[in-house]
Amino acid sequence: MMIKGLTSIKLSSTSTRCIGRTFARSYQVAQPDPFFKTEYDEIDNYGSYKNTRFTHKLPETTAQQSPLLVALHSRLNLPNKYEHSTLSQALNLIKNEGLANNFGLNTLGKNLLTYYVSEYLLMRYPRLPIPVFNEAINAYMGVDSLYEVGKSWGIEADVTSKLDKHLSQENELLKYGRLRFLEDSEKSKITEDGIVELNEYESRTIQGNKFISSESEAYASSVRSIIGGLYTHCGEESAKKFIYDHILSRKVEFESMFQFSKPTRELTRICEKLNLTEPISVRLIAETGRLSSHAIYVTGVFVGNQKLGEGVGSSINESKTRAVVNSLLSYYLYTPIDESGNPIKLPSDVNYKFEGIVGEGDVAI
Amino acid sequence: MPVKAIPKVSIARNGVGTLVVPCNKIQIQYCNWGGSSQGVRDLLTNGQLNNFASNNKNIFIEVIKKSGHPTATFHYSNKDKVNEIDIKNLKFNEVLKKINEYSQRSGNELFKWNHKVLSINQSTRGIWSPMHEAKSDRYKI
Repeated sequence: MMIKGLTSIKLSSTSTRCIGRTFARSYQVAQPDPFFKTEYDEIDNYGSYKNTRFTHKLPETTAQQSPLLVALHSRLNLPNKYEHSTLSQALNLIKNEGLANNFGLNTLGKNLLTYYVSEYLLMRYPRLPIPVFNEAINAYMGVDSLYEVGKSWGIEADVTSKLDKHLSQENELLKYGRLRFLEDSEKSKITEDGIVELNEYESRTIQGNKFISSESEAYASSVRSIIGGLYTHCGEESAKKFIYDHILSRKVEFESMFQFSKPTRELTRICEKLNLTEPISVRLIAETGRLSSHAIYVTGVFVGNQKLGEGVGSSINESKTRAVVNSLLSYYLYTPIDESGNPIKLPSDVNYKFEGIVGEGDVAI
Repeated sequence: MPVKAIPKVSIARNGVGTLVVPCNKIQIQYCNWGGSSQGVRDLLTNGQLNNFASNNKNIFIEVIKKSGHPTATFHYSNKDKVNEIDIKNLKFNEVLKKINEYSQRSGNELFKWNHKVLSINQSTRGIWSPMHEAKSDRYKI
């Protein structure tokens, strides 16, 4: 029984190393994928790493005849230098069909995205607390967001099997413009409404009662790969512009991402950290009157003569808490501007000179 | 942990930064024999559809030959909306007009917005508040 279980793990999972025991590893360890048959002269000589498995790239002339690829290329306004075959490669997640897949492009695109998104957030919102910062990164470039981006680009998933394609006499070139992530055996699976059978990847991503479907991960990976492809063909500048146009132009509501447990205490700690010597006072500014049918109170948080924030509520306590939360938000969501009132320059901009501030770290309560 | 984060997904603002035209695929279905498809057949033979396709490279156009009245199906990337319209007995220029019109839509249902602004952004000026008037000017209840 036990041996059976072990062998099945050995066969199915590449990320867990099993030597007699199974490990439920909670952290990620980079491991070379044996599929690519990577070879190297010395382990620390990264230049000598080579994947020796033979894969071929779709010829550019073939790729240009696929209407889906041409349409996607033009929809994304990609420069002429961006080859259609690279676009087709970015949409291919299947490893073992001989065609080059998007593994490398995906990694490249992910690194670029991580750099530009975190640079943007760190410079624009230098005081974001770490948990919110991480969620903000996720909101911009998490799987859910990139899935939506991929959908909005009109990328089609390849869900019909070889047999279906043959029977419907579909042009073979159409396949190369679709997102290929399902093996043929998975395509013909019988599905039932309301029931989802998780595959190996999906069951690894379960958190609470949510999981990342392999479809959304495939869309996200194709979006990353298209960015990676843009970098390889047209350089960093256009990849950056693409990320700003498509990813960072989306709206993230930072104000609704904070969940404070003890806002007043947190505000006190922040004031201590900022060396504000005068005590904090929360004072009523205006009210409609205690006996009015829907009483409204306006409360302000003050340090000396300075007002940190203001809140409106239908009871004194509510308005006080809102005032404190608002002053916390206005501290955390501060955006530095330059002398002329424009957003400050980022390190990847030309003629960058440091301006703005560096966040002082989170407070403990 | 002083503050916890609530996960959010970024909201698309197509047109801010760049515009990706929502209509990505048009399927035109016609019959090679029936009289109601005459306009579509004219459109296919006089090269006007080719013109449209080369002017709108971002749209994938599929022509399907099938018996029955002709239809045009528009696929939008916006929430995977599909809009099928009837183009039977139309002249070729009327068909082209329909294709032009529907290919520029967002895929959302048409609706009338009876207010001044429809926005996901907060007002820059803020909402007027009676509580912030000078005390002497406030309305006394």
